[in-house]
Order: sequence, then C-alpha cells, then structure tokens
Amino acid sequence: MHIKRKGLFIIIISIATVISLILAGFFIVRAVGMKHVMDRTDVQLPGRVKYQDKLYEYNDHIITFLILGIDKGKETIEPYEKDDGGGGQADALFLAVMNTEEKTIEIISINRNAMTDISIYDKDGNYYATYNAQIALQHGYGDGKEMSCQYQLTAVQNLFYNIPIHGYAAVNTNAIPAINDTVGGVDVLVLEDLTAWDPTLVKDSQIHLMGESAYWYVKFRDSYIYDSINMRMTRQKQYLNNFIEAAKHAAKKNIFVVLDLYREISAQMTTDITPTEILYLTSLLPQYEFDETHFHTVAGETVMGEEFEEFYVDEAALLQMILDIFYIEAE
Amino acid sequence: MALPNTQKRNIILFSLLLCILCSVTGCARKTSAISSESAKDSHIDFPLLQEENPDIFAWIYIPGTEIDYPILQNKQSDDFYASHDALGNESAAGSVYIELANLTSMCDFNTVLHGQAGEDSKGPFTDLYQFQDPLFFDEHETIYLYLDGNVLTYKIFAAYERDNTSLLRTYDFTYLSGCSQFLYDLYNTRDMNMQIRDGWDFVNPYHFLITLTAQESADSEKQFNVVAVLTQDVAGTINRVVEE
Repeated sequence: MHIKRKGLFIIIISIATVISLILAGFFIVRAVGMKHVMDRTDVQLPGRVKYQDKLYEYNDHIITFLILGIDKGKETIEPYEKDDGGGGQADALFLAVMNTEEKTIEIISINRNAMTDISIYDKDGNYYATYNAQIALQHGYGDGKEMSCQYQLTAVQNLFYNIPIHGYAAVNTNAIPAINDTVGGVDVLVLEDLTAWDPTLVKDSQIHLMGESAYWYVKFRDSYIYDSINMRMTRQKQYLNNFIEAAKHAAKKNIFVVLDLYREISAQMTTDITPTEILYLTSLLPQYEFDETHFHTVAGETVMGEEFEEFYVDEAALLQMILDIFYIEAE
Repeated sequence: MALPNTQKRNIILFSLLLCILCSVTGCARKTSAISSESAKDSHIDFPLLQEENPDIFAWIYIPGTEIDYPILQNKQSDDFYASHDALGNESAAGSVYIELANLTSMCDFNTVLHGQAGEDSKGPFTDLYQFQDPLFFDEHETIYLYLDGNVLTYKIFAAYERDNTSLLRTYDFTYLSGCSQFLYDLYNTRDMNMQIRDGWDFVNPYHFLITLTAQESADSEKQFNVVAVLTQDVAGTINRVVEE
C-alpha cells in the first residue's frame, strides 16, 4: 500500500513537471515571439497629418501585415530566374491591421488591378524603370520569393501613402485547401453558382467548405465576365470573415494548430514572420474582435484598358480610410 | 602723502595684470564678421564677409527658425563645406553650400542648398525638419535670400522626404524635360507626410526654385527637402533661357 502510494505520487509529480515544462516553454516561446513582433514596430513613425482642417496622429498601437495570395499554378513557390514578370502575380492582396490597444483586427482588401507605380528590375535586381500598371504584376518582377515580396510590399506601401507595413506572408493559392482544413473547414452561404467547377457550390446553399471546394470558392473567377474581380472579392471577404471565426475556435482548442499549419504550408509560403511570432499572434487571436464591419475594400472604379481591366482607386476615399484605420484625431 | 614703495609696486602690478586680462578677453571676444552677421536687420555686408571668405556668395534667412547663414560654393570641391565652417575651418556641422553644378547668380531652375541636420552635428539645417509638421509648415512660408545688391523672396510650397539620391544627378535641370520630371515626381509623391501648400500646384519649369536638402545622418536612406519658388526679385537680375 505504501509503495503504491509512493508510485502514484511520483507519477503525479512527473506529470506536473512535464506540464509545467510545456507551459514554461510555451510562455518563453510566446515571449520571444512578442519581442520580435514589437521589434518590428520600432521604426520611425509617420508625423502628424492635416487633412480637411483636422489634425491626425499616427496610431502607434498598430501592427500591419501584408498578406498575398500568389497565383503560379505550381505546388510550391520556387525562385524565378527570368526578368519578364514570371515570378507569379499577387492575385489577392490584403492588409491585416492589428490594433494592440483596442484589440481589433481590420482587414483591407486591395483590388489586384489597382493601377499604381510598378518598378521593373532585371534578374540581378538592378532597377530598370517605373511604370503605371496593375499592382498584382509587381510580385512577378522578382525572384518569386523574398525579393518579389519586398517589391510587392513597397508597391502597396506606395499606394497607401507610405504608411509602415511591418511584415508579409505570401501564400501560393494552391495551399488554400490545407489552410482551410487545418482550422476544421469554413461555413459559407454560397454567393454565386460555381457548380461548373465544384458540384457542391450551389448558389444560396449553406455548406461547410473542405479541401478543394475551398480553393474553388476563394480562387475562381471567370475572366470573361467584366468586373468578375469584385464578385470574387465579395466571396473572399465572406470566406475570410468566416475563416477568422473558425481559426479563433481552433486556436482556443489547440494553440499549436498554427504551427502544424506553418509546417504544412511552408513550402508554399514566403514570409518574414517567424514561427515564434506566429505563435504569439495566434495566441492573441481569441481576444481580438473581428466581424464583417472590420472588413474594408479600397474603393475605386474598374475600366477596360487596352487589353486588361484597370482599377482606378478613389484617392479621397483611400486617404479617409487610411486616416480612419491608421491614425487618431489629435487633441 | 606719497604712497609707500611696496603699495606703488602693487598698484603697477595690478594694473599690468588688468591690462593683460583685458587684452586676453578682448581677443576672445573678437568675433568674425561672418559669425556676428545676421539678416534679421535686413542687411548683409557682403564686402566684409567676402574679405573673410570669398566663397560666400549669398545669405539665407528663414524667419521663425534658426536658419540665418551664409551660403558658400567651393571652386574645387562640391562637398568641401559639408565638413568646413564658413571660415573654412574643419567643422562637423559644416555650412550651407551649393555644388559646382549650380550657378551662384541663382538663375538656375533649381538651386540645391545643402546643409547638415541631425542632433549630433548641430548643423545649419537642423531646423529644417520642423517643416515636417503641418502646423509649422502652414505658419512658415517665406525664405529670404540675400545676394550682393539684391534680395530674393521665395515661398515654400513643398516639404517632403525622398530617397537620398542627388537631385542634381537625378534630374537634368538644364533642360525643360528634367525640370518637368522633377515637378511631376514632387507633385505625385505618395506620402502621408508630404506637405504641399494649398493652391500651390501651378509651379512649372519656367519658375526659379530653391531646394533646401538635409539628411538626419551620413548613412540616411532618406533626405528631407523643403522646396520654395521665387516670388520677388528686387533688382530684377534673375533670368534664364529655358532649353526645350
């Protein structure tokens, strides 16, 4: 009896020690991640801005990430050797804006055809010229990896009047099924008939997207339909909103789910955000408020160019959006 | 009532010491014409300044700032005055200067005035960065530039940060196309901190500009520019032929 009790005691102590070590490890990793995220924001902040007789200050509680969906039609993101824009287009562009004080996330969706300054570089990275073109093209003029992302970040930053963007993650759109399934799938009310590509995507039906269905729902657009990008962006907005909800639930159940995801899609992703930072950011997620009211679209107008659609940003609306999200009115 | 010899000696010694002391402090107080000159009285004594340093050709004064300095051009080196004071002595803070590519007559489309800023150097353009603030920018719009026999008035219409590349080497201001490109790039700068004065979107290659440029440190990736356009030329000496 005495020996039995002693054995039980040792087992309890051992389990407690293991749990303590795991918890300690988690908090250390999380703290490292937090420090790295905070280091990103340690840059020169924009000064005060006067707009329409009001004075604004940059909100220094904000951390902004550029999220890109890269369309290359390949399984993995590989370095690209040529300088003809073959590094893959940034088919989906989002800014994820975290306000660490108010604990909110704002998602800003940028039309891939937004006309802006694109810088052309040769294969050695030498600057060649700048011209006005669809923002999605910028990613192609790089190595398809870090260099492409850096160019794309600069182009988005230029469109957004040089506000700080603290990091990026570019994911091959082929990784959508894996990402979708890691959070246990995503519920949507199908907004348009996509049965030609996936028989389950019947308009107005409520379905639980899994695997390839998520890919078609998020990715598909009929380029023969004028302004089909706006229709797809509406689907992406709905999907992203529901995805964040599903991700919050998944993170609450098991915080390490994000590291599984990171490992699984790392071959299909280019990012300057480290696993420890991702772990820290995910740990914040359940406390953060997000619903459709936190989703924003850069306003503008689509016109038909010589060959392709061109989206002209409403500059006044964009400026107001930047002030609303990134600035606070000065006293 | 004659003083005793020792007392006389003490008085002589004291007077001697006083004389030495006065002459020493007198020397220390003796300032150069350059360091005591200021445009606050609306007058610059160029013959006196040029006696001390013939490289001085103009004087810049921005009311409401500490910028009240001679402008120099060295005939051998573009950046000699980046590391020398207006007397030509080595100095970390340097002076306000122009490069050899610009004319001292101020008749170029864009005369680029360099000056150091940054807290460490206490350079002459440290105050320039105040123009980043929209309220300061709103309230300070005039630059006076004195030449020997003329006073030029400029209105500040833009203040912005750009990549730290040489303006004179990026744009060929001797041709209309270079001037137009500079203005196009300026007016199309997408930066929340770009300051453009309301109603001043009409500047064209036929105007005369000055650009005051500074960097926070020697290895800065960005330079801060304050751009002003000539609005008054008292003696009527500013002119040029614009090459198409």
